[in-house]
Amino acid sequence: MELLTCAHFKEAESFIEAFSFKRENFNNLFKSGNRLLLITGEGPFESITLLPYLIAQYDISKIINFGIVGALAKDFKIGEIVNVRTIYFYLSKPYFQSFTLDNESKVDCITSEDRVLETEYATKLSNFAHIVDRELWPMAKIANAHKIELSSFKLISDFANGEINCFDIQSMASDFSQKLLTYYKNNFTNQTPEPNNEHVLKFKASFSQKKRIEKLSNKLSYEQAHQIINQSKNANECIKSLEYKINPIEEKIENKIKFIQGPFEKIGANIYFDQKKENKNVKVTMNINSQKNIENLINVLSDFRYEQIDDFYNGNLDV
Amino acid sequence: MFSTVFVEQDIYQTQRVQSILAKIKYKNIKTLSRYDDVWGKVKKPYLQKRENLNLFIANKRGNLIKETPDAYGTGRGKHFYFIHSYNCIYECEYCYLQGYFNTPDIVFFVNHEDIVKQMGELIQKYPNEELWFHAGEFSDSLNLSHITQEYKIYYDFFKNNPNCFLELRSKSVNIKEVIELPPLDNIIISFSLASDSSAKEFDRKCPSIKHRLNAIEKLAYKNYKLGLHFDPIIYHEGFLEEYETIFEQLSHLPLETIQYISIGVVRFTKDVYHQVANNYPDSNIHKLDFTKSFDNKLRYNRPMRMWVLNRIKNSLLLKGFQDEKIYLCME
Ligand code: SF4
Repeated sequence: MELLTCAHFKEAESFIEAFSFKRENFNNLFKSGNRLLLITGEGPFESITLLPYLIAQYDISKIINFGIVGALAKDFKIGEIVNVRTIYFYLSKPYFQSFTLDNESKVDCITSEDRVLETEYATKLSNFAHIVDRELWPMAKIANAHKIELSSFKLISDFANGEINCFDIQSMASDFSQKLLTYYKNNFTNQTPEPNNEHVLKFKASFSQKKRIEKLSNKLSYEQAHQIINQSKNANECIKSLEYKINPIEEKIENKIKFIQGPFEKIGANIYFDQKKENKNVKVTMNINSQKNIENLINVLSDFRYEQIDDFYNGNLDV
Repeated sequence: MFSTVFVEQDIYQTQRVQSILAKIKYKNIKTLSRYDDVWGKVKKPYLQKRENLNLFIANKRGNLIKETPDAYGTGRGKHFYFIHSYNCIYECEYCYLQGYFNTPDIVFFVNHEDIVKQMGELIQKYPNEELWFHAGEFSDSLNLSHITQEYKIYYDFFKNNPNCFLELRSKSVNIKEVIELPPLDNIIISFSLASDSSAKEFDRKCPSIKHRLNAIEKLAYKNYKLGLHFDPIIYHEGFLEEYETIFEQLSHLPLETIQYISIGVVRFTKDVYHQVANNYPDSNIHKLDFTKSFDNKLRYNRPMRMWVLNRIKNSLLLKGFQDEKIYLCME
């Protein structure tokens, strides 16, 4: 379900009409099909009062915030609509944490605890962002915590230095709402789904094997991965082939390990290397149930030189 | 072009700052009392350096010179790095600055005389040691040097203190300031080099390897002392052949100008690793697995990276570079 949010009823008017939104059990919550519309009220704390409740109650997969904002930089036109790239917060002083919503955009927004009534304050905020609103950052914090995608598009209604007064903005509100609706329809509805490039496995694989295959495949071109997956007889073989394709040195490393392990395996013993291949210690194990086992182990160990391990860790991978 | 230039009020009128301002393009300019009232105060995403890069011009306070970590430098002497700039106009995908500062915005510190003064104090403190001072820990030391023009200040200091060494480390080809002054035995201009494919793929916005080699050649024939850093090496198919091509070209230079060659394999702190994954999710840097190594940094596993380093070192030796000038970085 998609949740649309804005601060004021006036901003939402065109949306309510266009999608025939009906009031839900809260005064400021509306629903239409798979869309919810929440009118949050103005201010950073107002904006999130209901949000956690809605996330718990409805299956919200995306939040889209919209509204009118003031510009902090001169390079905007009144009526221009922008997507927010990164949202910052000014809570008596700049708040460190920020959230990036859209890397493609070039406009940053700062949520201000207070209304921007003086040029001096606007100048301070302009050190951090291009536009100022009063709602978005707390919403981003909550969306981020719940791993819900958040977008925000804002219409520039004035320059945040008192040059346009509230009365002017109110008289333009219907026009602004219509513009926001058009922007939403053009940019946020009927998005085409990404093509599905998943590989089909012809062998059985556990959940973790599937994940590993997917991760490795993503490091190769679709064709390269496809060819290896198609030629593999089982999941383990497939994983190894993908790994070696990505990093051929890994195959040399494994061969060297097998080479060192060879004499131990022959007598039923094992020699284990550090899993991360960082520490130069090895562990030898063997089940002993006869004198012959002991003699075999003594023979193998007396032929075994620690230099082999040293050599291996120093990058000599020849066998 | 910078979006906004922030200058500390106290130094705004100085000739040094005015000269910097005259050489750069910017949309807005503001003064502020201290650069860190704004710089790093909010978490500014690293990739915003592409479209929204600000510049701060300030005085550096506190510790201007710091001792380097172990395994840094040539293995002899005592090593320090000094800070006259933060951040960089280039965008190498592996750059550790992306996980180090909270902002990509550049800072020029202009109180070089204070840095030089602290260098003098260290020389007095360690009269019997060979002291090395490295620039370029938090920035590229040459790429904007035609704007900041501090080279002459350091040059004069090292001319008068021939027993200590200065290393300026760079990926740029901006050697204009350097060649205006004659070479000194204790100033080493060092270049970071990579295979051609790696540089094309990962050293975003940096000069090509061909151009870097041209700059090296120019300096070598004029007898400047040079350092070469093959670091970070990122494994890819055919990497060795590509490095060999570079070694071949370098082997024709007057080799006595090359003071040292470092080789190191790509490595990240955990934070930087995550930043790289976040900033460059499709990068081939992540193609190979990384593992936590001896100092908690993420590296290729030990046999793998030693295999890479050995191949590179052998190839350098075969081209006539001296063993004692080659050292393995951070290993
Ligand atoms: S040149 Fe150095 S400082 Fe600049 S981006 Fe590349 S690695 Fe970072």
